[in-house]
Amino acid sequence: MTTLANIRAEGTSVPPPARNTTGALRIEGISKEFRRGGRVTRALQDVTLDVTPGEFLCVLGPSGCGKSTLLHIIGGFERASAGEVLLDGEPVRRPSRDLGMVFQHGALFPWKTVVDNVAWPMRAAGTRRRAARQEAMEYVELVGLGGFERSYPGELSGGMRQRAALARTLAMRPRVLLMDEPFGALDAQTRELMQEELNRIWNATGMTVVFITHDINEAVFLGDRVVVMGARPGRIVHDEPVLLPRPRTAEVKKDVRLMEQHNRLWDILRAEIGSPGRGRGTS
Amino acid sequence: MTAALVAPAESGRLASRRSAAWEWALDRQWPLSLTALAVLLLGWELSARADRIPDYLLSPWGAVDGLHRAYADGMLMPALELSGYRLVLGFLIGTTAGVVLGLVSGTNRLLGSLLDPMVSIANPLPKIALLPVFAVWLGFTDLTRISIIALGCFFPTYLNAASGTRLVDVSFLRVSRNVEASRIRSFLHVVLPAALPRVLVGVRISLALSFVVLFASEIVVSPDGVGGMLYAGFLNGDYPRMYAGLLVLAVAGFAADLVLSVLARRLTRGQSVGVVGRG
Repeated sequence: MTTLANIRAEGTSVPPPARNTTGALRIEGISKEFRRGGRVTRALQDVTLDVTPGEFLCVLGPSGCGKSTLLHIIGGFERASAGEVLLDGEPVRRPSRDLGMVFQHGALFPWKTVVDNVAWPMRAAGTRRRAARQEAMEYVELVGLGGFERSYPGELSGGMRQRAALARTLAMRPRVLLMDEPFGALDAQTRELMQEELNRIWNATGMTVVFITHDINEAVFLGDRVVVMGARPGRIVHDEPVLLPRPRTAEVKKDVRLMEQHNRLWDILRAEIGSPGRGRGTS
Repeated sequence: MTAALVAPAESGRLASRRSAAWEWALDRQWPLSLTALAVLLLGWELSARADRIPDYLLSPWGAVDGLHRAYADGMLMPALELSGYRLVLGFLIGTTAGVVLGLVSGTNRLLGSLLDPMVSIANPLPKIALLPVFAVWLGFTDLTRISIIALGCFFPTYLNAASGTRLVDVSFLRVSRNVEASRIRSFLHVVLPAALPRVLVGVRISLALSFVVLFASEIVVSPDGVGGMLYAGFLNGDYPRMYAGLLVLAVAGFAADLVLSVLARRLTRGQSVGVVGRG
């Protein structure tokens, strides 16, 4: 871990918007090995991270660095070979509603309408259909999909689908929001709009977020803090706060500080991509 | 070229009108298909009337006339009833067993590894080849015929249901685990609808197969039913009757497939191409 940014951070104390008291994540010494045949591939090595309640953490890394695997371990979808994940002091052993995941391509059920997709967490908890739909509509409105609640995912654009997926995850009322490159498949313009939308929604809910991305600008624009991962094995090579003021709007994208931070992170990332292990793993 | 000759506004209107008609035709394919079919039948009928084709190639009207005669002399309805009974029962038993066991084998690894090898061995066998075997066990009864039809329907539905279940997108299952859905809810609300398009493909293949097996089972040993009627027409040189049987099978098969595809489209709303649209 570098202290470059930490030094910079001193004096300009910008406190994280800790409006919540729950949603503290402690990721302790996580390692992950995959065995195929006789060969052992080390995907993650001794990853340790603390995420404070209400913090927006961006994990930045080249493809194949294991950042997706890390997120799946945090969410309880995959088991770590070593180490553990603690949510508010409790070990995470399996997926739960406390750790809501937004998947890479949304993973909306194509056979359900938007409102029924969003109502599904409530339905699974035993809420009656009418009440579940009513509650779901609040989330549909929150993500700006009002008027499209009766559409099927196949009828929506990529950006709208990710909005719906976000609404469904928010409807679980998680303590922590896990996002796995949710805007990775979107075109550049839609992606920028979605980033602004996410900023707005996060401001409204104030929950802890762990956001995986390979896009430096996205990480800086969204995060309170950016962690850079290196590949082969996946490990944390750098950790620095983002000191841009909040709430962040499109104006922030023109801020020279964002450019500076982008360039600095790019140098760190470039060194990682340039390392001999590049291009051999999967994310 | 043409556009240069027509005034700009005019050409624009023309183009938009043409594209609207084209859109209309593309959206509804049935007028086009129906027209093609009508043209074919009309051409056939006309060449038959003009004595351009041999007598044993009956005209469409001849088939309809044969059907009417079969109805008038009291042959048609009992045959229809008998064949319909065999087909419906065999199809229902076979597909139900196929879908249920396929879904079970797709979700449960243990049962899957028990059932799959048996199915793999039995599947390539022509099911009709088992007709004599069943006849030895059960006699040449309706039970034998229905069993063979059911068997024919079982394999395509089983294989498609099992693979459809295994191919369910992993992230769907993860969403299900994320909301802590119960196993039953997860199966009914995620696995089943996700596998349904494949399951229905299997059912549709079974439907076509059920007609094949029905016909085969009706023309051996003691021909009866619609298949028997057709076959008797062939043996006695009564070609209108033969074509009448063919007509019945064709219409019944078409109608059954139509019902099934409409049902399938309704059941898999949101997953069919129609919803997503062209291009």
